[in-house]
Amino acid sequence: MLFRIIAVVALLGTVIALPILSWFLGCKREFTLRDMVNLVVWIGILDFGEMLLYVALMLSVLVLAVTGFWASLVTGHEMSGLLLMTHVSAGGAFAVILAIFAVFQAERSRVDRFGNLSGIVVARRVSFWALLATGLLVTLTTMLSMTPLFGTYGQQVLYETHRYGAVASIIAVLGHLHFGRLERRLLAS
Amino acid sequence: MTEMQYTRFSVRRNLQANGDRCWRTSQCSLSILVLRFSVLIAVAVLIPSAAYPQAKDTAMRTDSIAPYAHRITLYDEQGEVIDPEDDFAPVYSPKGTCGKCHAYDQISSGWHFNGSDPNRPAGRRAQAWIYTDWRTGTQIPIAERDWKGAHKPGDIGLTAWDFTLMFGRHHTGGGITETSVNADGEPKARWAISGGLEIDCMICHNADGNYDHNERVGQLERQNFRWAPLATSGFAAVRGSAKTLRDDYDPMFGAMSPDQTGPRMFFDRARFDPDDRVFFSMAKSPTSDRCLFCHTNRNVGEGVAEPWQHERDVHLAAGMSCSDCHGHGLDHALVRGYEGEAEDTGQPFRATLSCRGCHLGVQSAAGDYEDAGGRFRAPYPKHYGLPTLHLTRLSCTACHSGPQPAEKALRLQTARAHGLGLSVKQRGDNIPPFIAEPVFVREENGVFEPHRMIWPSFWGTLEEHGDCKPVPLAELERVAGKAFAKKTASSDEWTPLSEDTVKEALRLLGTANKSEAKSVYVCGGLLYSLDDDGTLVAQEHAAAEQYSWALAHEVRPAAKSLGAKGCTECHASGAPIFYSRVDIETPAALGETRSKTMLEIQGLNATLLWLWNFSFVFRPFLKIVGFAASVFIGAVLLLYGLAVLQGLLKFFAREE
Repeated sequence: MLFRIIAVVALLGTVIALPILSWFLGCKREFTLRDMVNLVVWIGILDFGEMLLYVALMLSVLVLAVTGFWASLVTGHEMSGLLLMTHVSAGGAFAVILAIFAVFQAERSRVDRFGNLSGIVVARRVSFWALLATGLLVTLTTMLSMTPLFGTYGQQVLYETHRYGAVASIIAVLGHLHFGRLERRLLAS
Repeated sequence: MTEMQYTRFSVRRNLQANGDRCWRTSQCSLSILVLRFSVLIAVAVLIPSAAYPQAKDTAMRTDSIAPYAHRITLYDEQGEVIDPEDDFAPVYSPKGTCGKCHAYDQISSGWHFNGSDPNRPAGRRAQAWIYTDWRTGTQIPIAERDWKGAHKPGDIGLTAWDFTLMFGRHHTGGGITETSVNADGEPKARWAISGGLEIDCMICHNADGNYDHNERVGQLERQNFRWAPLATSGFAAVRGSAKTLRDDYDPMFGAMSPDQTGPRMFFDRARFDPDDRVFFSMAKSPTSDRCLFCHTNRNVGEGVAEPWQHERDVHLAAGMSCSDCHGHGLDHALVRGYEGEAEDTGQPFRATLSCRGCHLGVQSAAGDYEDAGGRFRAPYPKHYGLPTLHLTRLSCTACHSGPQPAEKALRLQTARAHGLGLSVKQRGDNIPPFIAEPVFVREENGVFEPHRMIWPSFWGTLEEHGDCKPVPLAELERVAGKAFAKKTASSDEWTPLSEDTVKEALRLLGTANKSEAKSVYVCGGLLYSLDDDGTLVAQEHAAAEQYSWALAHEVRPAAKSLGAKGCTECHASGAPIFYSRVDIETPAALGETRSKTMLEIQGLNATLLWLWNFSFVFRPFLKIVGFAASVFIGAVLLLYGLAVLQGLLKFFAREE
């Protein structure tokens, strides 16, 4: 129940907080309801390769989120059967896609030299590293649970870390998509 | 039975005793008899409270953990002292003797005795009694409790009297075997002669191993219900038989006839001390051997190891006893130990005595486990590499209890179903009822659990609205008895019902059946009936579905648990937990023996399961890819993280 509450509050809070954060970062025009629900429209302005990568990442995250949160938020049970099969398959794809994503995005998301970058760009970059870190967390917690390294309590810790990490990962993805879109628009203008 | 009625019995018993003595000594006079009778009647009327003593709050108690030496006086059911020197001493009564200090009414509310009490919850489904008659091809689970799939004794025409004679052998006494003494509508019942079958405390609490259970069975066969506790105690030998007495035998005057003496007691004087007290070797917590008399199981059939080759339950091997986990207070509402018992009973404490309660600690409200074992210094389970899903979707028993699942489920004999514990010259492996184990079923809450399973076989009527009711045994015998073979002397000589016999019996039942209901034979998971051409046709029906109950013992050590050899012990094509075959064995030979895979019984999607199992072929690949991706992402994070660190260091250096 605690996880349900935290997850729902965190996800809803993210959707509300992102436009507000954008407003504080200088994108006052973006604070509209339409923009809040239209986070991914900017993909169309990407090149094909990048678009493919983003689509693959979003699809895998979407599948993982639906299968994972359906079980824990809606039914209240742990995943099993078809949901689990889909979740595990999408999880494998997510790990690979995230690694490729890191290859293409890491250098352009450096946070060691900001210069005179706008707040939006910084937010996009930070959200990228957050996505990478949380993605690593959810991947590792699953992979480690398949090894004989962790016992009963360790497995429980891995499981709890995985699902809270998944919430954080979703927040990072939303942030990255949102600020990425704003950054593109900023660059285009 | 009311106090007045007990008192009436007392009057009768005393008259019987006195009358018998008079007959034998020729000193009886009518006036003495009338005088005694009058006095006893007066006692019965004026002092009804003198009947059956109830333990009161003022009863003596020790409140010590140390056992109390039960050197006590024996009493009969009215609380009269038993004098072993008296040839006509009253009969020892556990209710009268133990009940002086331990509230019998409270005890009789316990699980072992309260099945017939409609005010008590039915509880989780457990092993039912199984009425078996190979002659009529019947093996039907019956229970006083309202358990799905089990029929009430009355459904097949069993009265409390029949029930006591059939199942008293492995019954503690009490419940309908005791309280039906005054029940009406039992034409064959002879309660007035036999007495009721009181709860025999020593059946569980005897400590020195001299409780003679086979003697109890012999007494029950002779309908000496009232005398059974005394005979098994060894304080006296009980000779004679209530069964041989005429139905019109009147305990009050019948004993005056030399050929109607009924059961007689011959006390072992050496067991009584100078004050006519006896020593009961009592165990406050029953020893496991006592429990195992009624709860023994054995696998039979090809390839089953000899009993001495079997390992015992790890808990027993570790020196624990049944009562350590299945404890209770005076109410005898013993802990059953299953998951959810605490919620079912509203008693959270019970959760501490489940598998998880002892080994993991009680699950907190937040859903996480305490990082420590709970009770009895139970080892905290390691479960290395076992994702948590397994702890929620599998019962602990799924991996740790019962025989190791194999290609085929084993045939099981139980004490209650097959009379294990009773000395017989031969007990074959191939006798009904046919019970299979382990059968992994999926409970309503989605949890997989190993069960023991039986497919009912009985004769019934299929109502127009679809209900199928068993035909009462007496009616079956009356209407279709001639279709069945004669009774065999030995259970091993039984032969399964042939298709012709089934057809003939259905024809006879159908002819006698004047209602719209159709006569049917339920067998092997199907419901058989005759069509208009007299051909035997089968259909599926809810009444033919299997009856199963959870198994929890023998608990295997961790090294022998399911999954100890890796994931593919379960997640592979042909893994026993899903693909083991369960033969549907029945007392009738209607075609080839059918079988089901556990997968079918669980109701799982075979394709999905195959896909899931197949995915484990690629599991190593998934691990390699997953870890490689993780290492790479980690390296990127580290590399750029170090760059950030470098930037910070430079920044602070400039500041300086």
